[in-house]
Amino acid sequence: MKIMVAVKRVVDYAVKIRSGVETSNVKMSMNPFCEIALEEALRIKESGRASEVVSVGPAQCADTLRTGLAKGADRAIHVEFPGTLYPLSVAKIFKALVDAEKPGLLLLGKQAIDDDCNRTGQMIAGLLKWPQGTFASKISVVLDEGNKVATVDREVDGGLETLSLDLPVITTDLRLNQPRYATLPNIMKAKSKVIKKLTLQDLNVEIRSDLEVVQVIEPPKRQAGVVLSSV
Amino acid sequence: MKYLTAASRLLRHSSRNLSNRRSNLQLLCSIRPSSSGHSYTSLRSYEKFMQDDCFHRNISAKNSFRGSVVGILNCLAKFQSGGIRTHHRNLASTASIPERNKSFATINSDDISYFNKVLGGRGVVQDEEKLDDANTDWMRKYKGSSKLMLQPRTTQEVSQILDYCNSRCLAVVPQGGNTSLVGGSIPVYDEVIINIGSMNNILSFDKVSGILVCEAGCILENLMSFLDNEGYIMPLDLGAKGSCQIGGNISTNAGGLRLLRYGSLHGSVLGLEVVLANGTVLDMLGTLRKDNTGYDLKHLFIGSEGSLGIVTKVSILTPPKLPSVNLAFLACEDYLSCQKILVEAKTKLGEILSAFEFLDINAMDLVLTQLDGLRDPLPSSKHNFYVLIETTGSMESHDKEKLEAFLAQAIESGLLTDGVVAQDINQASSFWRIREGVPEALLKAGATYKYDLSLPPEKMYNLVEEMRQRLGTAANVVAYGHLGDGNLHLNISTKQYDDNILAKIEPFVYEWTSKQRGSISAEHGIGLMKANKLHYSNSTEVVQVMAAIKKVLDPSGILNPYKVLPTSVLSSQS
Repeated sequence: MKIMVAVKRVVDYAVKIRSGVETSNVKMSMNPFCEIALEEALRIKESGRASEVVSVGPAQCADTLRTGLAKGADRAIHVEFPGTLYPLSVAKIFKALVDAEKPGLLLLGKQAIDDDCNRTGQMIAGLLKWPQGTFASKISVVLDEGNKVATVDREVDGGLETLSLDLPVITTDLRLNQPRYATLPNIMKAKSKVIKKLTLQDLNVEIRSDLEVVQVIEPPKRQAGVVLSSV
Repeated sequence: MKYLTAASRLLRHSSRNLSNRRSNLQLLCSIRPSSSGHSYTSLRSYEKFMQDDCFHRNISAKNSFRGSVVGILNCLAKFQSGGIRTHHRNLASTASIPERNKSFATINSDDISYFNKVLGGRGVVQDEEKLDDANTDWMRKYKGSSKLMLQPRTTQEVSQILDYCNSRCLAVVPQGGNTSLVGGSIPVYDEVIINIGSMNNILSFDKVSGILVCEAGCILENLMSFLDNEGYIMPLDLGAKGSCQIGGNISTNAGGLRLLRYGSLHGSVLGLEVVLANGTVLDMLGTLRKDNTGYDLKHLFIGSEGSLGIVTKVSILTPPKLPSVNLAFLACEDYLSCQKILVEAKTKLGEILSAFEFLDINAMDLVLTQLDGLRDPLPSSKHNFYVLIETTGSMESHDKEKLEAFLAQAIESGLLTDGVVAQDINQASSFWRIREGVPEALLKAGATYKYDLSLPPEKMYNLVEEMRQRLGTAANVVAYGHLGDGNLHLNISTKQYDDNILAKIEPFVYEWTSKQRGSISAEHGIGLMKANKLHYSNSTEVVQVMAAIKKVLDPSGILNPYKVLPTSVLSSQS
């Protein structure tokens, strides 16, 4: 069974962002939730079938995809698009990819740390009419002949909810696993793995930008407290 | 130092030794009770004997603890009549601590009122708990008995304090973050602690030249955060950055992880403001990159560990923060490969190489067992040596290409057996945490005999192997350090301090280093621990000139006494 994992290249989680979110000279890395999704896919693969890594974004995403390959993914697909993409557009692209590649399971991070949208997974599931298991903190996949089922523990407000789903779209949450390091021998091997490049025309997808960023501002600085002599 | 405190501390550590009363008595014998009533000169010749190789004095095991006090006095009395050599034993590897200098005064209430007047009450600390902390060093090896700590806020206050102390002949200890690893930042007896921590303002920063001017009490990590906002970094980085202060870093000429790339503080410090023992304020706080006008006095204060003056302000050149930082955690089979990788890294990575550290397998094991939240980056197998290579540059793609080419070749030629490259800042921090966490792990594991040596890189690990042979299973010999600078941190870890173990280590380590013309203190400094070991790395003439300079700048010897220079050399000056 093929597992498809979506990864996004974002500003590195540990960078201190200054006003205006300048992305020119800042360290970029794979979105942490996407790392967790990839790790889960690799673990399922190590007891299942092939897994692939797909990312959507501008040219530099190749780095992020290489990282994914270095960690153990078998193939990577890079859909090139030189602007900002919002979840609905990304979901449409993934629908086209899923139709082409026909994976049995789709894993994504629950949200990207740059826009915190938390929509892409859910929208893909909607477009594909697949079941969805979001905020997964535990996944176990059964792949018997007549019985292809995923049991997902979801983190919800009241605690944990366990669902049993026919192979779905799963978005991953923090406590699912701890991503592995990319070791040197694997990094070297990854160089020879191929990253397939696709454009939107290849996938027959049309993107309409229905969101416009009006303003990005820093939150107001914290005011100093006042020490009272008595209450 | 109170001998009772020291004795009870050792007894607490080595309860097994209680049954071996002979070793107890040996212990008590080496401690000089401050109220022994013996004259200074007789103890000085006693000291001189300490320099030789001594052998055991058989003391009757029948003596009880109290009886052994009598035993000491008997022993010393017999010694005075000449010719009996006592076993030179160190308490927790402290060298023979000199007796308290009788020319120093003791604090009285007039002094306290004067300080209250100068500091306005808020900067005078006599609270026992706070003093307890300030009297104990980070390694919990040394403890002074100061009764007073002062916290000045301006240079003027420092000047007034020192002027007064000089006229009263009150000894002082300048103190910053108290992170010294050689007992340099705490009092030996009752010296007044002058803590510069309250002088922590950043005075100015020039965004074009990167020149930072700040007070000496600024914590290194705070300066790093400030500079980070401006797009610059400090030219030094060390594990103690959360507590150590820049004044202390400069007074000890701290090295650290980035010396390989940014050089020593002698190069990056552009100016200092220093207060001398008699209160004179030396304003050398230039911000010029080049200034050849006379003798460059600031270099005397950089590395003199507070014995020539107290640093109050600093002007330092800071490098720009470069965006592309890569960190590789690598494994090697043997030490020879580590050296070859160093050479390869210098040539292949060239200008982007910013740090080159190593740890051996014992260090790695210790860190992983003692500290929480750390995982082995290369869990698939155990490796003998681990090397951490960091590159810093302005272009991510260029640096990654260079690094990957270098690593690919190193793996192909068999120099590396495995490795990981950090994929994001979090991974990089966890790799650094492993290397920076070794001192902390050692502290948690029990007692540590710590040595910081500069040695020719080819010979460095030979010392580690010889120490392992000498000590066998008695202790865990842990080695790590700044391989790129030829600096070995040799640490011998035991459950508790044990003199038999110490005897196998010293003076062997110092003599070995001396033979290689190495340094017995690469970056930690001399402090109290190595004050009478200077001769291992410096000729007699050199030490004498050091003493002459000390005499000029601090005639009464009130600044950080008993440290840096051997007492014997200093007293021969007067």
